[in-house]
Amino acid sequence: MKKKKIKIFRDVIIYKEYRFDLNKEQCDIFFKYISSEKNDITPAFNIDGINYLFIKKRGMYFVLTTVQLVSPSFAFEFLNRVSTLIQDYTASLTEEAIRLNFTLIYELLDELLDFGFPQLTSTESLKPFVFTAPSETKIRDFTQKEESLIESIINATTKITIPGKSSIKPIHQPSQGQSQGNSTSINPATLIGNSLISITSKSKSVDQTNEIYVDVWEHLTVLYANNGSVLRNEINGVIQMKSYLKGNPLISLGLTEEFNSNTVDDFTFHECIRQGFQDGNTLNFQPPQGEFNLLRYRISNSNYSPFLINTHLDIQKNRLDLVVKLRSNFANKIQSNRILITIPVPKSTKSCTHSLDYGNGGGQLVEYHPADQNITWQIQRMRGSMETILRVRVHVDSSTPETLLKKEIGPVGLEFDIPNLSCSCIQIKFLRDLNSLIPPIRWIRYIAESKSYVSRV
Amino acid sequence: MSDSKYFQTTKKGEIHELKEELLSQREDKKKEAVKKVIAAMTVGKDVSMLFTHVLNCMQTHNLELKKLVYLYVMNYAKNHPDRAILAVNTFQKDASDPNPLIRALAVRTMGCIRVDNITEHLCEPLRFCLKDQDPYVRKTAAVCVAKLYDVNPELVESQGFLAILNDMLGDSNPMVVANAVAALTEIDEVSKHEIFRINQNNLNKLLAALQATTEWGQIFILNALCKYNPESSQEAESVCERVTPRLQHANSAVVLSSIKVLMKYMNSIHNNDVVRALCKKMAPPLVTLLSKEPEIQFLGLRNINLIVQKRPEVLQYEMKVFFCKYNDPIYVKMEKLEIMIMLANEKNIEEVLLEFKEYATEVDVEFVRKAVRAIGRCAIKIDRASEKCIQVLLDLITTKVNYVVQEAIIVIKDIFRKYPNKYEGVIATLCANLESLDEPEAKASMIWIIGEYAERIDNAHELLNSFLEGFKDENSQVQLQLLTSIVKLFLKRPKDAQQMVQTVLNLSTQESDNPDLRDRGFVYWRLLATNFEAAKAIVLSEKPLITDSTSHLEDSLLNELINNISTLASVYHKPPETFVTKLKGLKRGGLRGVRDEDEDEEPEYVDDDNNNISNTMSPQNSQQGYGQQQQQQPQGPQKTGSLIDLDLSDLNFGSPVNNNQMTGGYGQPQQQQQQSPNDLSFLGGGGGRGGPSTPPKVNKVLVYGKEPNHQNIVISGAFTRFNGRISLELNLLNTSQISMQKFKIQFYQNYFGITPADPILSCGSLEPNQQTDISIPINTTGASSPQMNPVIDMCIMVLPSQERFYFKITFPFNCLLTENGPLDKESYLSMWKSIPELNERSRDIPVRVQFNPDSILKSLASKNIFEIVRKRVGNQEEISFLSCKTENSIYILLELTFNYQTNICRCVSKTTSPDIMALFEHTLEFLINNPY
Repeated sequence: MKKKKIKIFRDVIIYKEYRFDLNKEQCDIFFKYISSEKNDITPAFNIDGINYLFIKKRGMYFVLTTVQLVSPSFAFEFLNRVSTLIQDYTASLTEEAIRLNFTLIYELLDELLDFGFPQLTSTESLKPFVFTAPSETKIRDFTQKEESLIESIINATTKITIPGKSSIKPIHQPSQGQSQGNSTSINPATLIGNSLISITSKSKSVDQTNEIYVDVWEHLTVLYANNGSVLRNEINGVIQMKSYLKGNPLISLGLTEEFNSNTVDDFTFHECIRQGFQDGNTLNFQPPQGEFNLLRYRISNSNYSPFLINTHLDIQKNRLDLVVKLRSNFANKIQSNRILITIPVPKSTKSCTHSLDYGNGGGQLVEYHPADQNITWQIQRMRGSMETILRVRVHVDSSTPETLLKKEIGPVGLEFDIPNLSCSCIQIKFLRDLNSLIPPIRWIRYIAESKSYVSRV
Repeated sequence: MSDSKYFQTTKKGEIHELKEELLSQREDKKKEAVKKVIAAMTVGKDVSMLFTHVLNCMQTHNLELKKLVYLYVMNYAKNHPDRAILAVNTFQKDASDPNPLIRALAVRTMGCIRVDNITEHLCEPLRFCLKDQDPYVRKTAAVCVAKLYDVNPELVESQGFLAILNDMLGDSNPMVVANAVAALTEIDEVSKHEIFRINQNNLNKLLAALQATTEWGQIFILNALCKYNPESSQEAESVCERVTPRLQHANSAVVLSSIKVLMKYMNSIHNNDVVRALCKKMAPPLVTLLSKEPEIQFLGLRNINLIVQKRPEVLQYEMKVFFCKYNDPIYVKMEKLEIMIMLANEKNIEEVLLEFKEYATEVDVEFVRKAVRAIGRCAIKIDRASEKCIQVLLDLITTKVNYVVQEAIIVIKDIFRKYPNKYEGVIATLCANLESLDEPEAKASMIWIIGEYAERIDNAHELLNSFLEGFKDENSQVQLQLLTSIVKLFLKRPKDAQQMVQTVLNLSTQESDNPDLRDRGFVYWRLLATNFEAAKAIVLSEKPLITDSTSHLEDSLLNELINNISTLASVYHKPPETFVTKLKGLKRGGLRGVRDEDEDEEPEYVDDDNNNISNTMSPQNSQQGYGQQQQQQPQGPQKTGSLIDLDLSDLNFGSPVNNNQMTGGYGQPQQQQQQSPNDLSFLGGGGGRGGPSTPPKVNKVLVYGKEPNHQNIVISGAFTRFNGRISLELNLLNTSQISMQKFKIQFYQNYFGITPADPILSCGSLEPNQQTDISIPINTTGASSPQMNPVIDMCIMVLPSQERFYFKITFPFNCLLTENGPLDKESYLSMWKSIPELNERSRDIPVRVQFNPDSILKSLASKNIFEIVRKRVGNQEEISFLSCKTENSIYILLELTFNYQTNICRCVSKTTSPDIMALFEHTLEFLINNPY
C-alpha cells in the first residue's frame, strides 16, 4: 500500500518500502513533478496510477506513495505523526538529526507500519520496541524562551517557532538491560493490552524531570463589515501539551466553567481521553510522553474581540482619505506583540502620505510598498486599553471610476499574537496528579493569535 | 555516537574491514559493522558479498543487533530473494523464541521475503504465531497472512489461514482484531471469493473492538462496517449510536470514516427523527475539519461537497463557516465558493451575494472570475434572487476591470437564457462595454445577446458589423457565434442585414479552414436560400431553459462516491476504478495528474443528461465526430490538441524520402514506408558558425501522399536552418491529371510562432507527373500559442481551386537555436545561479553511437549548441558545460556528464522557460545519437 520517504534537496534520506510494489524510481518522479509544475501542486496527486501524498516540514518532504485507494486524511495524519515521532525520539526534526539517527528511525518505521497498516504510532507505546539510543544534535542556545515550545500551531504552518531549551531533548533513552534480550524484562502483552495508555514503561529515562508544558492557543478568525458590525468571529483553540512526567500518572485537568456546550460548538479529544468531561469541565487522562494536542475546540460565534478597528473612507476626485483607528480591547497589563496591519491600495495609486495621531511611539512603522500595492503598518508592541490612529491619503489617477477605487482599497488585515490572553475565557483551573500529593511542575501559557483579522473598508 | 559517520565515503579495503568486524566476538563491534553495512546499502553500494557474514550475526541475544540484522535482511531480500532463503532456518528458529518480540520480528520479516518456494517453509511457524499467547505476535502474524496472500494466494487458502483470520475477529485484544480486519479487507478486495463477510455475529465483535483499539485500528474497523447492510432499522440505529462518539476524535481520518458509516447506515433508518438527529451531529465535526491544516481543509471540502449533494440538510445552517478567509490558500477558496453556491437559498442569498461581491475585488484573477460566475449561478438557481444578482453584476461592470466585465457578460448571457425577456433593460449597459472584450467566450456571449435581442437593439447591425470587420482574426467560437447572430438579425430585420449576411456566409464557407464553420455556413445558406419562413422557424425557435446543475453529480456516481468518503475517490470525484490500477506494465514518465481531466470549472448547462455534458449554446461539440465524417480530412484541424503528445514517437512522422529517389514518381513512397516509423531524420538541417557555405543536404520526409485518401499530390519536406535563416524545404510531385499552379501555404498557429514569410509560393505551374523543389523562408515572428505543446503540427497547402492538402511536419527544435548562443564562463555561472532551482531538469541519455564526447560535442556545435568548458572527473567521467540561445532569446544552459563506464550522458539543464525543455531534451538525445 505505501512507502514512505523523507527527502531533502533531492536527496532521499530515509526510504522504506512496505509493500514491494513500487520502487525508488518514484522518488525521481516525485521530484520531477514538484519542480516542474508551478503553483497548482496539490498535496495529493496521481501519476500513472501511483498516488503521491506529501507534507512539507522544515524543508523536508515526507512522502507517501501508494497504488491503493487510501484515505488522504489518513495519509496526512500519518505523515504528521511520523514527523512528530522523529521529533520526539531524536529531539529535533532536522536533516542532521535524521541522518544521525537513521537506524533509530528505521526501527521506528518498522514498528509504525506493517505492510502499509499503521500499528503503534504513539511515542509512548513505541518505547519498548525501540532499542537504538538517540544521538543528540548539538543543542543551540535558544534564548527566546517565550517562543512556543511546541512546534505545530494550527493554521500557522509558516510560523517557525523555536523550542525552549528545556524541551529539546529526546523523549526516550533505552535502558541498558532492555537490549540484552532478557525475555522477562518486557512483556509486550501488556503493551498492547486492553488500553494502550496503561503501559508502564520499564525504560528509565536518564535525566527526566517531572514536568509538563501546557500551551493554550487560540486562533481567531474575525471579519468586520465596513459599517463596523461583526460578520464573523470564530475561535479555534487547542490545548497542546508536552509531557515529561515520570511514570504514567493519572492527571486531572480542570477547565473554567466557560467550557460548556453553550459556548463551544465542537471539540475533539486526543485518544488518551477515554471518558470525556467529568463533572462538566474536568478531564482525566494519562498523558503520553512527548507532544500532543489534548483538546481542540471551536467557538463559532465569539462575542469578544481583542482589537477593535474603525475605518472611515472619504473619496475625492483624485484622492482617497482613509482613517484607521485601532483600539486594544484587553487589560492594560497584557501586551500584544508584533502587530502587522496590511492595507491594499488601488492599482492606480500614484503616491501615498500618512500620519500617526500619536506620533511614531510604541515602535510604529508605516510603509507604502508600490510593488505590492499596499501599505503596511507595524506596531512592535501595544498594551491593553490603548488606541492609535493612522491617517492615510492616497493619490490616484483621476480617471479611475469611484466604484473601482472603493473596491480596491482595503480590506484592512491584522496579524498579531497576544501572550497571556484567553479570548474565550477558557482557562486551566487546575492540573494535578491524582495519585500523588506533590503536583508536577507545570508550565502553562496562553496565546491568542490571528492571521485573519479583517475589517472591510 | 552518531550514525552519520557510517555515510563517510568508502576507502579501500573497507569491505574487508567490515568482514573482520562482523566476525568479531564483541557484540558492540558487530553492531557497528552491521550499521555500516546498512548505511552502505542505503546509499546504494553493493554489499551483497557480506550477506552470509551479516546473517551469522543473527545468532545473538542482543536485541538491538538482532533487529539490525533483520533490517538488513528485509532490504536485501528484495534484490536477492534467492539468497534470502539462507535465512529461513533462522526465521523458523526465531519464530519459536521465548521472547515475543523476537517471535514477532521473525514473522514480520519472513513475510517480506517474496519468493514462492520459500513461503511453504513459513506456513508452520506462521500457524503457531497466529495462535500465539502474546497479542503482539498475533497482530503481527495477522498482517503476515496478507503479505503471504500477495505472493501465493492458493497457499494461504489451502492452509486455512483465512478461517483463522476470521476467528481472530473475536480476539480479546482490540489491536489484533483491527489487524485481522485490515488483512481480511485487503485480501477480500483481490480475492475471487468473498472471504470477509460481516454478519450479526462478528458485527458486535467489531463494534466492541472499535471503542478500544488505536485510531488507525478504528479506521480499519469503520471501513469494514461499510461492507455490512443492516437488517433492520433498529440495528442501523444501534450501530450509528456506537459510531457517533468517534466523530469527536482528533484524527480527521477517523472522523471521515465515521461519517462514511453514518451516511451509509442512515439509508436504512426509517425513523426520521433519528436521521435528523444524526445529521445534526455530523455538522460540527465536518466544520471542525475546516480549522485544520489546509490539506485537511481541502479534503474536508471535497467530501462536504458530496455530502451536501446527498443530504443538503446536514449543513443547511452552516453558511458562514464557508466564507473564505483572508489567508485561505486558493484551492481552499475555490472549493468553499462551490459549497457556498450549493448552500445558497432564498434566505441567505443577500449575505452570500455580499460575500461574492467582496471576492470579486480580490487579487487572484481566477478566484475573481469564479466569484463572478458564482453570482450568475445563484441567479439561475434561485429565481427570486436573479434581480439582485443582476444588480450586483451591473455594479461590478461599472468597475471597468477588464476580466470582471467579461466574466459578468458571460454569466448575464446565461441569466438571459434562464429568464428570457426579463432583464433586457441591462443590454444598454453591456453594449457600452464592447470595447473591453478581448476574450473569445465573452465576445461570443455578447454577440449571442445582440443576435438574440436584435429586434430591441436599434444599432444591432452596427454592433455586429464592427465584429464582422475582424472576422478572420477571431477565434472559431466567436466566428461561429457571429455567423449565427448575423443570420438571426437577418431573419428579424432583413433590410439591415442583407449585405452582412452575404459577407459572413462568404467568409464562413469560402475563406475559412474551419470545417465546423464551413458546415454551419452552408447549412444556413441553403436554409435561407430554400425557405425564408422555415429558416425563421428553425433559427428563432424557442430554446429550452437552462438550469444550474454544474456541480451536481449523477446519482449513481454520487452514491458510489459517498461510499468512498474519505478516500482519494472522494477528492478526485471519480470512481476508484478509474485511477486505482495495478502496476503491471507501468511506464515511467508522463507527468499527468488525474485531476487534470476534471479541472474544467466552466459552468456547463446541461439538459438533464449528465453523461453527455454539452454546452447547448455553442454547437462546437459537433466537431467531436467530425473526423469520422470527413474522410477527405481525417485530421480536422480543430482537433489539433489531440494530435499532440509529448512522446514524439507516437506521432508517426512518416518515412524519410531521399530527394533523388523521388524521381521514380508516384508509387515509390509506398515501399519506403517500410522504414522505421520512429526514424527521426526530420531533425536534419543545421549549419552553425563557419559552417559550409553551401546549404547542407536536407533529408526531406514524406508528409503527404502516404495515406490512401491522399490524392493528387505528393509532398515531402523538412525544416532546416542555414546561415541564421530558417526555411522549409519542400518537394512537390503532381500526381493528378491536371496542371497545378499558384500554391499557397499556411501554418496553424503554433508554439514557436513560426509562419511562412510569404504565403504564396514562388514556383511556377506544376504539370502532371512533374516535381519541383521549393525553399520557403520562415519567420519566427508570428503569434505563438503558449498553451500548445511545443510541436508543430499542421501545414496546409492551398490551391486556387480551393483544394487543400493538410499535412504535418515536425519542427526540429535546433532550428530555433541561434548562432550567437555561446557564453563566457562568468556569464554562464551567474546565469546558472540566477535561474531558480525549480527549473532544473535532468535526464539520462543513453549513447548508442561511438562514445566519443569530442565528436559528439563538435556535432552539437554545428547545431548551435556550444561548449563553454569541459573537465574530467576521475577516470570515468567528463563534464561539459554548454549553452545555446533560442530565436526568442531564451538561454538554455546544459551540463552534460559523459560516463565512460555506463555509456550514458547525463544532461542537467536549466532555463527560464522550462516548458520547452521536454522537446529540447528529445532533440538533444537525437542529436547526440546522430552526429552530423
